[in-house]
Amino acid sequence: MTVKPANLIYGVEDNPPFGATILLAVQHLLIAVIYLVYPVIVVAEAGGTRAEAAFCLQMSMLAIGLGTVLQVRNRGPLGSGFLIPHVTTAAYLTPSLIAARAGGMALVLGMTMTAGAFEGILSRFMKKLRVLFPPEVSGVVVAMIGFSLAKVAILRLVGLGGSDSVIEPAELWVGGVTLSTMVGLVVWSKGSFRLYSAAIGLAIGYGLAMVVGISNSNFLDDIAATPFIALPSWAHPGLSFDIYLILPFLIGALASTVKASGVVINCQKVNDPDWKRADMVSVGKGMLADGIGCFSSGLLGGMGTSMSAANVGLSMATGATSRRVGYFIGFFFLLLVFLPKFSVILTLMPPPVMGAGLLYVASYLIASGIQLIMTRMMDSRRTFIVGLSFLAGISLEVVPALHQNLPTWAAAIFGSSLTVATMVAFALNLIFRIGVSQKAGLLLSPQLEVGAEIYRFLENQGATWGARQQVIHEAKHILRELIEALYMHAKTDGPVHVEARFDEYNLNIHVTYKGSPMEFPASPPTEDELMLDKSSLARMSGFMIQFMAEKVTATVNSNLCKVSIHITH
Amino acid sequence: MTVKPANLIYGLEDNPPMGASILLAVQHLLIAVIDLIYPVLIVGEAGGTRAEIAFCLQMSMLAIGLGTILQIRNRGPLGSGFLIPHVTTAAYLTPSLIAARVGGMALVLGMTMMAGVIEGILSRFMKKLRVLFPPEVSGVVVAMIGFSLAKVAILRFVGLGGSDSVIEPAELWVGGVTLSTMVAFVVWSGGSFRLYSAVIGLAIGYGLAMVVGISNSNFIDDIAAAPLFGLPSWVHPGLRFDIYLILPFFIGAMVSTLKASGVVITCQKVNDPDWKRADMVSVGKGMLADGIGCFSSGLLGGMGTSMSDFPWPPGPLPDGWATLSGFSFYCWFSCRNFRSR
Repeated sequence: MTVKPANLIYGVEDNPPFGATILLAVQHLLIAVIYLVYPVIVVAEAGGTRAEAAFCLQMSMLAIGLGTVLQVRNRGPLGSGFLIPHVTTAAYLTPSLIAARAGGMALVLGMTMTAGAFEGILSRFMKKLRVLFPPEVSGVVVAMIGFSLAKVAILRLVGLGGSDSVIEPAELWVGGVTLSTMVGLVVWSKGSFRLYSAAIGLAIGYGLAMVVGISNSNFLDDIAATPFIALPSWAHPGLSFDIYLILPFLIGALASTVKASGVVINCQKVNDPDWKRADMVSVGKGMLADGIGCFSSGLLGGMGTSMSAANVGLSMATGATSRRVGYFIGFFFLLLVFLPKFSVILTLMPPPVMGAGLLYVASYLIASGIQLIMTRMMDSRRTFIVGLSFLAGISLEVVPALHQNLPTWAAAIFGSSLTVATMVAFALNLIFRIGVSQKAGLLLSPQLEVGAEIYRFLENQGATWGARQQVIHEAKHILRELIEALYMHAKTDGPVHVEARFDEYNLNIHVTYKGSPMEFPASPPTEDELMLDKSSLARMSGFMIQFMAEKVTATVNSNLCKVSIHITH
Repeated sequence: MTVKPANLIYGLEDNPPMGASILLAVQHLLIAVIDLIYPVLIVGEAGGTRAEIAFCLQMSMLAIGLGTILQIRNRGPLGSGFLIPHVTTAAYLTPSLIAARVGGMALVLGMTMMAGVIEGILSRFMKKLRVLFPPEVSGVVVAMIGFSLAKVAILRFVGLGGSDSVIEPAELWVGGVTLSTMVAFVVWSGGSFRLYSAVIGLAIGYGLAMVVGISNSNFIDDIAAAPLFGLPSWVHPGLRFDIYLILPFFIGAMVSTLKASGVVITCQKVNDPDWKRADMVSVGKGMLADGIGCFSSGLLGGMGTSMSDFPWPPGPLPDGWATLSGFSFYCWFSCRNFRSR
């Protein structure tokens, strides 16, 4: 069992008292509520009634509850074992809207099941995925999900769409105030106000919409007419499938997989103070539970779900990552299924409030996509991967003529900026892998400005390889320290040959030189040794290099010495 | 005098021999040529004739020439003193397209002059600007320039726009091959091929357009008919102003100002091995020359110019992700085929 980190109040294995657990679980529900907008939007796009929207919402919550419980379990081949609530996800929103237009809710449900199956399959090919979807590609996908929400969101924010073609000032006001409240609370407030910014913003939006009279006229009556406790009225539209829609849903599944891996690894780090490297077993189990959650949502009648990064953020902010809280969240979602008033209130959400919520979520998606892209160093390859795929996606949004009058199969692909951008990024990444040598050499001589040479060499190679900035940064320092030590202590006066090898997981640097071998002791020389013994300075350098690098080995072959440095990528 | 850094063959104050100077200057022209597409686009948007396009292009080049000389001088209150050529800039493309639609070329020219004045004024308030435009703000602006060109670029790429509402395969081919050529040269070639990827791509695009017959039918005749030497034929449309267009041009001027500061500081670093901190005096003088270049371009009949940030071969790009959208735009954009509409 690992030690609980000091900054957590309740670690994953701890059991908070009953009252505290309930309070924490309710907090998580408040965070998740904003994502429950998606099913309402999808059913509306399919032309469904309010009752159908309520059903889809209830079934989504049922799947969320079941999925969360599966996810939180730490036994068997399923579930990451961390406090990771599921929610309905933006990754499936655009694909679901296409499906809703093409074949109604039945198609949405069938394709959601397919997507869940995809994610389950993808979870088995994690290693390969990392090569096919490096951060610059998955970053484009995440940011494009945000961009693709723009149209859905802005139409509702200003109160357009459907038969309504007039922007009424009242609608603008409601949308504007809701969005400003959410953003204002995140930016300027602290503590719980900040955590519940979305829920508070939604509540204010509902209130304002009632006051200015743009909400459904019989809003209160409808809520009053709904019973407190009731079984969901079964309105399942059946299931249908369409081969042409596989691609957009596959991309949604892929985005969920990428997110799942990030979320689980994040949980591992928070819960283990001695965290060194990702435990891919628990990541794979988490993804499988994620896929099964999504699959069962489609089967039951809900839309696609996946792990909620926002909720994991909440658990870290509150310092409570207890598994028990996770179980409670799952049970609460199951409970909400049988409290129809809750679902009715959500289905009656005024469009400007919805728009504000979507813009709020989209901002996070865009920023985190860009962040993901920038974790890798940029070179001309990545410049074009990012630039051209964004431009291809955005072109579709600004020139609708591009996807009019297309045959069905093509419309499924070119109807979505997200699909096109993802395909361009994916294809360019594969094409640009041609001709990237994973090995590079550098010859250093004492006459050169060694430090600058090393920096330039590793910066250029790092950019070509698409290595993480942090790793290259470390490598620069280690290599510079080593070369300087060689010239100062190892009787090197000739050229030093540096060879760097890179793959997605490792950066290995081999340094060959003529001179005396270096020592890399595990502990530094004592103060006395440093004072008295001049040779201990070399051991001091050796210790520092050993300390910074993950693994250092020194070998001697006749009069040629070789130092190998390993850094995990 | 500062010491010349070891990695420069000719430092700022060195004088390469005549032949080498000519060769190096021609290289710079080749890189800058891609930016000369903008005036063509703008006059096209204003519904101008081919003669008017040629005039705007010539006047832009006149202003670029004058501006570059001002920029390079290292005496007096004007000019950074570094080798920084001016070019017509994407920062003013979207504003100019709006102006062209609203009030024709006269309005474009008037507003370009105004933008030059704004940049001159902004150059006096550098310190304040930094607070108002932190990287996340200026990054969004730069990236949006790239995004805002998506529509202009894609319509031409697939050969739509104006009365033409059919995507012809030939047009797609020319655009696709041109773009792939440019990208491939940047990604896979080394040395000068990489540097001139844009020009090579353009040349191949022109050639292919002729072969598949989507370029103007009398393309070659028109070229043959134009004299080798000749004074520009004066077709200045006059100057107009519109208060509602100040904002877009102000944003263009702001971007130019921010870019100018980055370019001059990079030049300082490259030319001074002991560089410690930015010399804001030479930055301010550079911006002033930049603004005056833009102003005179508008006055003469050309579009907005500013410093070219392309003299540095593609390496790790300075502004991170913001720059990269702009950069890939260059290539995407240039895939338009060159039919005058």
